[in-house]
Amino acid sequence: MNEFDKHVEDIYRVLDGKVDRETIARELRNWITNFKVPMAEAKRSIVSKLGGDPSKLSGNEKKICDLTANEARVDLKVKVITINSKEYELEGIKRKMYYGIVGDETGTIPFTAWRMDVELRRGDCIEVKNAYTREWQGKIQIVFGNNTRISLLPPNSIEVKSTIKPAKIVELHPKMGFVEVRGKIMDVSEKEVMVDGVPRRVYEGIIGDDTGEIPFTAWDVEVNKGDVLKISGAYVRTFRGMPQLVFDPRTVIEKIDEKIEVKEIPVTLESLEGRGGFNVLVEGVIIDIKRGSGLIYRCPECGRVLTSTMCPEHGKVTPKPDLRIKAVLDDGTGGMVCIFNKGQTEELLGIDINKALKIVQENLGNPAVIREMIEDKLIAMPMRLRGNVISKEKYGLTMLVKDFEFLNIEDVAKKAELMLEELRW
Amino acid sequence: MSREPAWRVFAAEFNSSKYYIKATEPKMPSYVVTPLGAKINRVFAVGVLTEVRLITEEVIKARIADQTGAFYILAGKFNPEARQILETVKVPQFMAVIGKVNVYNPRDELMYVSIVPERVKVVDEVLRDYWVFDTARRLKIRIDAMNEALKMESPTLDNLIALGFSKRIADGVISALKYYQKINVEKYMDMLKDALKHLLPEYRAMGYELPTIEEEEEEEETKEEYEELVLKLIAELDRDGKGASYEELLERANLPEETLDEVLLSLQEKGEIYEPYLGRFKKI
Repeated sequence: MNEFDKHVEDIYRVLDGKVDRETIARELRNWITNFKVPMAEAKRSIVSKLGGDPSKLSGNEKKICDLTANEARVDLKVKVITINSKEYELEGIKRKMYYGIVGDETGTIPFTAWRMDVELRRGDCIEVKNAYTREWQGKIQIVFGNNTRISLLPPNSIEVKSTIKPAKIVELHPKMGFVEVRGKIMDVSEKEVMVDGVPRRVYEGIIGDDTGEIPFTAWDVEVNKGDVLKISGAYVRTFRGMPQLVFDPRTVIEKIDEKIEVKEIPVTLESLEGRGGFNVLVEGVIIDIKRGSGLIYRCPECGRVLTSTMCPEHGKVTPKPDLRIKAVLDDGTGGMVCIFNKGQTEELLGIDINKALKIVQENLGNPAVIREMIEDKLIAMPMRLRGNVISKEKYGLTMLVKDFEFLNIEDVAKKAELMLEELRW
Repeated sequence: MSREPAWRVFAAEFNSSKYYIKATEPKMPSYVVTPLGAKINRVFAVGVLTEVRLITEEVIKARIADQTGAFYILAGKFNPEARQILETVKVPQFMAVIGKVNVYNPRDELMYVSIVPERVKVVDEVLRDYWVFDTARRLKIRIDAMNEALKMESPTLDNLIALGFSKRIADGVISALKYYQKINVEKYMDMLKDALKHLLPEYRAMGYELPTIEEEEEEEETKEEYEELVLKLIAELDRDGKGASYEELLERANLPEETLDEVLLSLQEKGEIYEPYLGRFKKI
């Protein structure tokens, strides 16, 4: 029997044989092919129209792997794999919503529950009636809404096929389900806690990869600082408003021989004030280009910047041309003068010093033309810089730039959506 | 000496500032403190340049709008580069501005803030969106800090720093608490969410309009005073019988254009004045 005939049979059964299969099939085909109504909706409508009770239809029960976006009525039997709650206020009343992951023998899926009939815990097996699906960030999610009924099933009555997805640390989010992360343990501390009267070991720390860092909690599995690990079957939860990676005894942890360069989080300029820093990473916007940027002349003896052919120390000299930028980077917490050398200036402008000299010549010897080119290129641009920072009482912070790059600012929509999710829209 | 940071704030928060800390010594910075505790000497803002107006030969006034309101830009003779760009650019245009706060403080409880530009630059929508997100992110930090401070019996700098807020954020929040009686944090949370929604493609496709933040309550009280003032000025400036000119009214009344427009409209509706020629106002 094919899929379509199964649905016809289902309707035939509910209608108690009052209508023949051929009529039902014709009717159903009409709804599905001509009106493009979803199957569950079509079946309900037909049963109602022909005088039956649509709640007796069995076909709404689905397996997770069959779910598609925007299904209106879905019944499922699933196991709760992770569950988190959030409080929110609606019309002045404090309410609670839940989210997490549920799974069955065909896979796992994130869920959101606006209301719960029963207080659910991790590991509960449940029957869900009348849920619906939606798409969030390109992924299907199941929603338990106002008309959804949830009832408990016997413990361990559902086997879960866990789908473990490889993920980078920057992407980790509580709605992801089981993940596989490759990372380096940056820091770890151990403690013992009592859970239901049983002592258990917890390791807490920070794990990082080339995209970022995240706090982790490991239950009953020992991890050491500096370990590079492949962690399969961990999950993400929200702890004190921040995502946290959790490994439990079922998580498979494997030491791997891999070099991982952990991506640093930029420091704030405010935190460098009064102390400076060695080889620090900062992110901000260039808000000013200082005088003395662009084409300058130096004393060939001492390197001092000259405005004439006279060096205060070496007398009359033939000044040597040079390129440099003194830019002010501001990250909203503070500002800092950043010095780009000749090679870096050439790279930023896309011209070498000879070309710069020629451009100045063409502009009647006015070196301001180079500074204007720099301003056009850099002002208001978000950048990431690395270098040594010195802090001086009189001038504030100065960085000798070692590495620089323009920030990729294309994808703020995704970040905005994540933040809205955190703020509960 | 550390550089004053360029604060990222939305226009509505910036414009609702009523607290000004004036420098008492040379070289000391002056600050505008917003109700959420951004203690601002310098600003970095990105928005849409919607209007450029020559006030006098030397002064240009411009408006740069974000989703919550508009920044007033005031470029004078000490800002020749910014002035030159503002004079030549066509509106509307995505624009970034870096500048210092400026305060017009006609009366004690009345204060208008604007930005004197150090730099202005024509930019694109991508940078504007980046700025909106970045600004929202920082607004969130100040909302959190203010909420924490409001929970404390006697909030102090150290208590806030102990919770992990930076010294600058903590200092701003404590300053704001000293001056502002009621701080409506909820209002800023709504503003934050609206700003973020504006960045989502689906809202953009729907032509989602962001609600503007309402002005503070004092407005009602001052409105009558403005009307009196403008009415008096109209009588005074109507020298040739053709009515007082908008430009002169603007200069003499010292009100933001938006406020003046509102007052003029209200007076017309009340039948106090009429507009015999475009840009001329006369008492009935």
